[in-house]
Amino acid sequence: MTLVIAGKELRNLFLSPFAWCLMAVSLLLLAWLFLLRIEDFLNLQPRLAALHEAPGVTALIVVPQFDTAAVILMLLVPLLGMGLFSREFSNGTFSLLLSAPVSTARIVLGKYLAMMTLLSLLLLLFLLMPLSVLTMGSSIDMGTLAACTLGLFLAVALYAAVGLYFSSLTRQPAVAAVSSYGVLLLLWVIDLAGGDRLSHLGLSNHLHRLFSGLIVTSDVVYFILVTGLFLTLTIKRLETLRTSPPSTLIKLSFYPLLVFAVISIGMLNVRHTQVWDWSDAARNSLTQTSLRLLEKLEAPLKITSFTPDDTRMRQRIRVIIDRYRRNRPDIIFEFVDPARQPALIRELGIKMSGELRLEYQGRSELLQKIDEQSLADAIQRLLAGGDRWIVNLTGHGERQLDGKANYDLGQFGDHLKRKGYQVQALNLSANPQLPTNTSLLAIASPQHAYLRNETRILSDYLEQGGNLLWLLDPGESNRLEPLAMAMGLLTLPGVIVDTHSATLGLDDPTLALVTEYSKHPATAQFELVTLYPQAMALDTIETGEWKVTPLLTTQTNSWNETGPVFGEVSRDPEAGEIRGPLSIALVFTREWEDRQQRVVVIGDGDFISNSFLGNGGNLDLGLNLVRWLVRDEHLINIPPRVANDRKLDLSPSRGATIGLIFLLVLPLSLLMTGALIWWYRRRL
Amino acid sequence: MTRPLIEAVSLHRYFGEHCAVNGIDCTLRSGEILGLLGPNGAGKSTTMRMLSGTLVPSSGSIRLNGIDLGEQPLEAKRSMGYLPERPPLYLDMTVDEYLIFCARLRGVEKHALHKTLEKTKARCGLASCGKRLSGNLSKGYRQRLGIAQAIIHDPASIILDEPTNGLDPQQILEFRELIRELGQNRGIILSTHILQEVKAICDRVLILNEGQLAAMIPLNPPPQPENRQLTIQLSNPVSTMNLEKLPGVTAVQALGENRFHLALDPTTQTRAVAEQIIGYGWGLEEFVSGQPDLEKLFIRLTQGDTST
Repeated sequence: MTLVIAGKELRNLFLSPFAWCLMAVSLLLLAWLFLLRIEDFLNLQPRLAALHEAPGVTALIVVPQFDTAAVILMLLVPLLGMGLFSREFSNGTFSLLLSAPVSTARIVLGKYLAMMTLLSLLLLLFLLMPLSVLTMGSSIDMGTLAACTLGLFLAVALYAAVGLYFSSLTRQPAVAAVSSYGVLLLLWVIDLAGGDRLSHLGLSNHLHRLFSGLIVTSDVVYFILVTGLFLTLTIKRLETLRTSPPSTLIKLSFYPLLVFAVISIGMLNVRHTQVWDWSDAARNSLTQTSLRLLEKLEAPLKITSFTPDDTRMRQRIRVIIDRYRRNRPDIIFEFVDPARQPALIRELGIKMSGELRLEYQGRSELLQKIDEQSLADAIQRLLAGGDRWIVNLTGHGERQLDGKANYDLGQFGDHLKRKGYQVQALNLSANPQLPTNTSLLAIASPQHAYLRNETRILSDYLEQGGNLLWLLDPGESNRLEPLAMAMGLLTLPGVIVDTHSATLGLDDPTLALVTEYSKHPATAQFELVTLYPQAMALDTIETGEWKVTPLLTTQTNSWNETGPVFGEVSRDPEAGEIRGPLSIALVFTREWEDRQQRVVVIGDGDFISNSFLGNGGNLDLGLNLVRWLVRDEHLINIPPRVANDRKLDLSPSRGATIGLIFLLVLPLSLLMTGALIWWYRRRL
Repeated sequence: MTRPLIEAVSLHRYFGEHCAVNGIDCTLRSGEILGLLGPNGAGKSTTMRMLSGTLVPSSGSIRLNGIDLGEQPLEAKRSMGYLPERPPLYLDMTVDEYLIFCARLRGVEKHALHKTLEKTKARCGLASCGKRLSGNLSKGYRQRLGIAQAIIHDPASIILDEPTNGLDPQQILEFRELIRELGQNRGIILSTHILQEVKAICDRVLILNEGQLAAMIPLNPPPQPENRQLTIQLSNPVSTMNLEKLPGVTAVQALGENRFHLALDPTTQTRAVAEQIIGYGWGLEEFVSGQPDLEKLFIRLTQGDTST
């Protein structure tokens, strides 16, 4: 009986020119946007090729196309559904259905089925657009396409149910359509208006997750529930049309109960949710590497995102964090609005909005770049932090990692401790032995020579594969000549003068600038400018044992000035002053047993001192170097996920054909069909 | 006696505070054509809507073909056809499309569709316009189509709400013929406010006024000589039982407000009956020989207490 009603409704929909016109117009609109997107992609294509992890055709054309379709169909569906009941009321035909041996539920389902059949046909026609990309020499992420289709279908099913309900409330189709728009728009924007709790009720979050290729049960259930709710309301509404007033009380209590039931079921589902990632290469899920890392967490990981209260911005971050929370539900995640917590921001050293803070067993990491690689690195560091010992030599006027003086490194030391490193000061004359678990030995600008015994301990340390961070400052001696000789380290006389700094408005020519970094892992992807006051140039001689890489180099307008830096200074080649680029820092590596021994020598100790740490990217560079030295850098490598659908090859003739089909042939044939049917039927 | 096709007991229907139907009982048997007569707003349509299952009564029960409409609405409705006051036509469907839809909706099997369709169209005089659009039909044809949808599934009882509305005299005659034909082995309830119509085709008439049953009058009893029937008006209340005990009186029909219709034994003198009534001191006010005059009765019943 449902089918009899569905068949009649479908017939009426197809026999009215109205439905054909609506379909033609919406497809025309979508086709136009589709062609614009293709054109944009073709223009962008050369630049995309150069991008790391660039999005492909699916992400740039197909998904936005579905996005637009979801909005256009929201406008279309109430127009199609507005007359389904209201016209029966105004024509008096509803009594025919009521007097027939058919239950109200079947009447509603029949009409709904008819509407969904018509809309499914429209969806199929719409699908031709994304599929036509296949003829342009590109592949599509079929999984994501399937998820998008499912999402759009569910959204349309919801629209149709809402449209049907409002049609059952009034005799005027226009009133039904306008009320449907009201409710649907509310569902679309409710998450923009409200906080996290309301975003649950809005449909855009659920829909966009589906569009990303992620099938989450709670999203699917959301659509089914809301659709079911409106269909049930429609059935109840029609039953009240023939029942008597005394039962109104029962009906009234029915509605809140129904709403309550839906919300509670919805909430329940959020807790027990199942996720399938349909996208190509599981783009929305974590790699095995990250998953293994998450398994190692023994305590809850707390993630705080310092993001303004902006739904869209937060949603983007939530999408990424959700991938982790899906696998580790014990991850605590919260947003903090930086504008509301200025004191906290200062205390934690948050620099930009969108920054993430990861906290684990009292240690923390700050992240400005949020992607799987950065998060994996941070989690790795948090896991390992507990047993990294940095030994800082004292007793010879060295800069101290816990010192408060301007030349000391106290602030830098604090940052290291916050990252989970154990920092220990050690006076070799009092305790003539280096701890065996030393991860990194820091010798920071010693002012006095070491005793022979101490020098021997240090030489042994270096000999036996220990990692070393050695900061030097201009002066007569490096105080540790045996070590320098072992490594083949030479120092150039004088102080580096950088004329470039003057052009930047700095009045101290002895401030060397480094703006470009070598591809070395310690500085890879580093982009900030760093400043080196009173730096010394370094050089090496071949030892055959150590592999040496220049890490930081000055610019060409620099040299090592041997004379006093006063008034006009210029390079004097006679005095052994060499034109830049000069090395400020060198990396020494050699294979020791089964691993790489790492040494960084920097001809400047000031750049991470309390006075200069805040300048440019000095702090970050210092942390990066320590990380690399203790081998905390990319221990794990997350392979970039390259989209397979990045190339679109559209010859002008084929482009014209596709444009013609979608812009002209398809809409026109729909219009013509409608017109023909109307013309034919009118005369019967 | 066969089981009644429609049996309604104590029907009430309130629209808010307003009571549209107030305690109406009615039965319809097979082969009977029952007329519902009453002025506008008397509750005719509301009663019919309740009988057809499109409106649920506030209280009271309805059994269609012995099946309770409230408890098993779908089964009960199967044996009933209904034409609302306004023919429920989809104007953008052709006559054939529309009738096929109605037939399927009312459960006519697919293989019988074609035969049913042709038979119904022939019955209602629609044979020539199967391919025409309902919206392009004249009012008379639309009314015929409305009747056609009510009888297409060959129901045992047919409920017609003002079926001759909008028909011209010729069509009305054809319609009466159709109703008589249909009424031979079915039960039909029809409502109207045209007295002649009721007289012409109904076996029995229920007169409704202000939601209540004002009178129930049999119109086509087995033919009797005119002078064997009496309508009397008494001034004192008397029970029908007492009247039945009068010698020579075979049947008594209460018409309300101390007015009665008596059927007499062929041998009895009407004068003798009158004398007896006077003898009992019941206060005879009016004594008319022959059938009750429906028109006068209708006007009297529906115009309030003008006669007393």
